[in-house]
Amino acid sequence: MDDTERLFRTYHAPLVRYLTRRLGDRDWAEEVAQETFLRALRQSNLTNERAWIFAVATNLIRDEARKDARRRAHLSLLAAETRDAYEPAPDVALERAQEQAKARRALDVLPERDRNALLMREEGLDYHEIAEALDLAVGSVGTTLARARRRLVEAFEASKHKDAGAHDVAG
Amino acid sequence: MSQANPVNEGLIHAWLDGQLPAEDVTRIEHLVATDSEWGAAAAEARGLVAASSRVLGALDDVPKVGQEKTRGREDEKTRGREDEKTSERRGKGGVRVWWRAPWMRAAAGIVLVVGVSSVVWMRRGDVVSDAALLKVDDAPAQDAIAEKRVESTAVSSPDSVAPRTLRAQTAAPGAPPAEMRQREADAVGAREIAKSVAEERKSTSDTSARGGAAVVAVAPPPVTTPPVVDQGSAIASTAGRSGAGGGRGGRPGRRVDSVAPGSGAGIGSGVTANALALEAKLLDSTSVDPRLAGCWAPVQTARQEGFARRDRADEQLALPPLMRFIGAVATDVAAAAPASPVPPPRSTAVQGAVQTRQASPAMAEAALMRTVVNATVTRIPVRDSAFVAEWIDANARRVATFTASGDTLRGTLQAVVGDSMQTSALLAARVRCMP
Repeated sequence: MDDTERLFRTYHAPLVRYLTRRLGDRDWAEEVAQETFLRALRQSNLTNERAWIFAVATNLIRDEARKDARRRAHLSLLAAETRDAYEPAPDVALERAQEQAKARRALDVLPERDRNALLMREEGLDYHEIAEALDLAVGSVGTTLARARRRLVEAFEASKHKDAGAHDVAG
Repeated sequence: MSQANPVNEGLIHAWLDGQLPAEDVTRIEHLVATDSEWGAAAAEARGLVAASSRVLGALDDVPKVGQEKTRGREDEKTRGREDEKTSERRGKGGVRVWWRAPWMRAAAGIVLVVGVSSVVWMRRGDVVSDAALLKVDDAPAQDAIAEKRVESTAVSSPDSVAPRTLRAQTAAPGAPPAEMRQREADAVGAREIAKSVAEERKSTSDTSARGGAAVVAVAPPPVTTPPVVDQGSAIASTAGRSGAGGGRGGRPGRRVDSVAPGSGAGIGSGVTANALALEAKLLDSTSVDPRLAGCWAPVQTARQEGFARRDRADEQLALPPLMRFIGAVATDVAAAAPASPVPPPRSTAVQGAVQTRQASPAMAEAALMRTVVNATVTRIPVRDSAFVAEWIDANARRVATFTASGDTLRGTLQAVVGDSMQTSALLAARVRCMP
């Protein structure tokens, strides 16, 4: 197994998941992941592969967010097309879509650093790797994660209650 | 103790994440075990860790099934190509399998087409029978049919004043100018629709002729009959109607049953006389709750912002439109309530939108063309409901039923109706709530 294959096999799945959660677009996430791996292969030596890869991916999406709106529109159309291809049961699809929308809104509430730290931790990065990827002190990662988790859950719950409240008003 | 060791949330999360050195782990474990504040904080942190994971898990929208499907198709394609090569190789070697012969493939294709057509044809019957979901007394049903015929007559007289009467009647006294303009535009659209329907019906089947004859006998006075509605449902009707006389109760001249050349994309040229005749036949042959008769709404242009945005994106990208909005509908719950003594829902406002989306040719390579029915529910009065989306396209009347309960009552209900490859134009549609 050469280095390319090893890198890909080891980090592709968690990286794409991280990026998909971060971007909300699987195709876009795949694209950024590929670009990340291309850059990783150009590096002669990586001391901490995982931290480096996640850091580069995070920087890439930060850059990408500022440009190429047209491509994003295209990708969102393709994503919608892909979603249409798997025909879940209507009620299941609806519930999932609603949960996903709430989760997305809750995640968007978080500051970028908290959000990235949380998503990286979910992908199994340890505190040292998160600190390295996000340029944080190791000692502050726990506090960052605690704050991020609390805010995420609170925002998610608030979103649910808000919907329930609106529902009651409508009823 | 907690004063000496104030609770440190970050430390607890690091401990739960297994990121603390051994000596700190021992200390935290001791604190959590002996100090109630630390214990409570640890319990809360555990909950937060689990809950945040669950929330983030909801973000994963990985189309596994779709991928498998696509992959399966690709595999089949690949396998097919390999088979061809193998077949050719065998041919060169002098051994050719008989079922790989071109004529055999052509024959198989014809059999497949005939089979699919038969299934589709048989389904039409099923769909029509599904309309019996509406449980009504015989008498009201007869009334409904009669009313429908009345409406057909009204529709088939483009010069009649019915649409104008409708406009005058349905415009609320205090309606804002924009709404008035919209109503005006809708009424003009209705007149055009009525004209085209009249032309179509003049030239085709005796269905409308029969309907027309029956109408004259049973038609109630067109304008003076007050609609039997409660206040809430009246509001709902107003809110839910997409204009064009989508009145409630199927009163003569208050709405247009058939639709036609629309302004919406994908409609217009594809609407054939056959389709209209079929639609008329379906409507005439279906028992409909009289209170539902007004729910049919003509297809309108795309008004939804999301689709408009999508269209603009298509234009920007110079791509063929992947999906095209070609229909809209209005309905109200009160009208959809069955004619049984079931108490009406507390509130009666539901707005529905039925859309069909068709795949682009490129997409069709990857997936079968499908029709997707979305009911956008903006306000739902009941906790548990079944929604029935019905629509008429150029081929037949179709019904999709889906249920929703509790929290799922808000948002977009989607029913994917498979194998509707032949769906070419949406003529009319409605979404009903069955309490």
